[in-house]
Amino acid sequence: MPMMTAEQYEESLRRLNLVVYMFGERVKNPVDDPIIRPSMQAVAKTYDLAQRPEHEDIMTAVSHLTGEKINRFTHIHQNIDDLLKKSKMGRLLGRETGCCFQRCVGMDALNALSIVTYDIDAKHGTNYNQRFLNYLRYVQQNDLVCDGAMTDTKGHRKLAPHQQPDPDQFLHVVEERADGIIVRGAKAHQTGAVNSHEIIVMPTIAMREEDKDYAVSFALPSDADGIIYIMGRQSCDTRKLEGGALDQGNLLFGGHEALVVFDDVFVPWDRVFMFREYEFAGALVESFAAYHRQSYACKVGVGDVLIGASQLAAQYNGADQASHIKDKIIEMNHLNETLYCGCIACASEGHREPSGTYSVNILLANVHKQNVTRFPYEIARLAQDIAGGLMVTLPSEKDLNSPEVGHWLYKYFKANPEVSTKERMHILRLIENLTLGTAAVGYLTESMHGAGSPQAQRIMISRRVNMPEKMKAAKKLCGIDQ
Amino acid sequence: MESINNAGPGKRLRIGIKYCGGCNPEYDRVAVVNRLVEDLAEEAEFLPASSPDLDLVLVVQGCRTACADLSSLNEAPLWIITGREQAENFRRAVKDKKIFEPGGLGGRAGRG
Repeated sequence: MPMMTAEQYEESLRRLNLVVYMFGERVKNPVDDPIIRPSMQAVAKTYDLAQRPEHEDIMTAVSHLTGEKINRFTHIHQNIDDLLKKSKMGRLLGRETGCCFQRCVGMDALNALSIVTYDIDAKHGTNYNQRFLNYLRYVQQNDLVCDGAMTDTKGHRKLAPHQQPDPDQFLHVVEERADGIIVRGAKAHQTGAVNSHEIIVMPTIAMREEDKDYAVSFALPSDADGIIYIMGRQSCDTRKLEGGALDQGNLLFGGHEALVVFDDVFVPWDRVFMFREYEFAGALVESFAAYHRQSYACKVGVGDVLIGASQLAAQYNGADQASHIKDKIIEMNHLNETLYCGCIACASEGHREPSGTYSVNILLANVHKQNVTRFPYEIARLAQDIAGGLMVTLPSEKDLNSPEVGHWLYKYFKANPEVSTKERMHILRLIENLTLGTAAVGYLTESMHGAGSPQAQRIMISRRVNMPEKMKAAKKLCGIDQ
Repeated sequence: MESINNAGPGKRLRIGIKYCGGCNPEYDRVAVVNRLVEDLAEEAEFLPASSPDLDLVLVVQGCRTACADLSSLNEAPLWIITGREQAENFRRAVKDKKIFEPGGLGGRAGRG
């Protein structure tokens, strides 16, 4: 059966020879690095839940290529139900991990490529789709994690790729050979890159003929020669080095991001899915972005955790019966479930592409993501309001354990007599983690900029709404001749 | 033991368990099933829904959306629960040996 367990996934990562740097030093063993490991554990959860009877209905699918049971993260959506289950899977995993579980981006890249390779072939008579399907079969059979790498470093924002003073600000082809191509550039903000077996590269913007060397898409093993990972920092990241079981907030899971440098990397032809077909770069971006904007269903699950933590904080503080606290909890739930509405709606209004793949409704996916750029911030604000200032002034776990001062903390930070001081500290640390610690990278700023910054969604909304029909409806009702 | 299934006297019911995906369940589905397994140990054995020769399948839905995919299940009758109260009804029906009576299984299940 082509599905790995969580343990097999971890072991498979150990076999990779990734070139990873963090704090200026090479990380020889990313899997066991205390800063990186929680993110690996979050990805491992996608394997773990797929093995469980109580979650397999969402976490697994039947491959349209082989008929075998596969992890849904390697599946190509075959109907509306697949799209709905994807949204539901995001909420489930967000709630189970309280962070970014990193595997959606590869699924979104696979689905977008299943559509666009077919469309390129239809126009140009190429064989990208068959190459892609061969690759997909490999991914499904081995239950791999794919990093979907789209975001270039982009240089001067006013300039097109070919106009950049440094041509490497967008990843591009530097050499064409009989056996493949050589590429150079970098992809920024790559979530889960170091936990991935494969990296799927796509162009980052729509392109014109002058930029055709930048219109390239391909897949490589994550440890291919010339790929270098430079880990991003997260707020409060070094708390993971301190030991203990309190100050991290989320003791088990986290996310990570990296800058991925392609230093003249060779890509064999059978791994190339777009090569200078610049007129399809925009279509690939649009398709991937729509899927990935749907993927922010995960924030609903993380929101579930934060709302639960806020209710507990209110109870632990002894304030849960106050009417304004109850109202704030209602508002948090209203915002969170509104987010859920968006990710369900864009799935249920999906459609079939010529390739057979089902796409989300692009307008609704963009509306959903636009809400995601806002609502988690308000939910986080309300969580901090409910938690109180102690969530940022709390002394450390080591102080709590200190024979000299620990008893003062136990005494003065006791609130509700039915709850221990330590439990109160645990929940406050979790809220801190989600709203301004390591998990805030995923819950807040990633919600803002991940899958495209807010303006990107507004552009898509303006393109996709049917304004003529709206004006026609207005004219009809007020008596203006059509 | 009085026969309560179609397999003959003295035999425990073979009950398959089929869960929905559990995206946002309204109750702890696994805890409810574990309780049923414990309480009904004399009357039934619980197996994966893909097992052969099941007397029925208990479909454990996390909410009333009831989205579990039943298409791959065999022809065994279904008993669908979407909450703790319905789980209790199921437990009582098995205990009282009324699971296959009119108004029992037939009144609560279908094959979608």
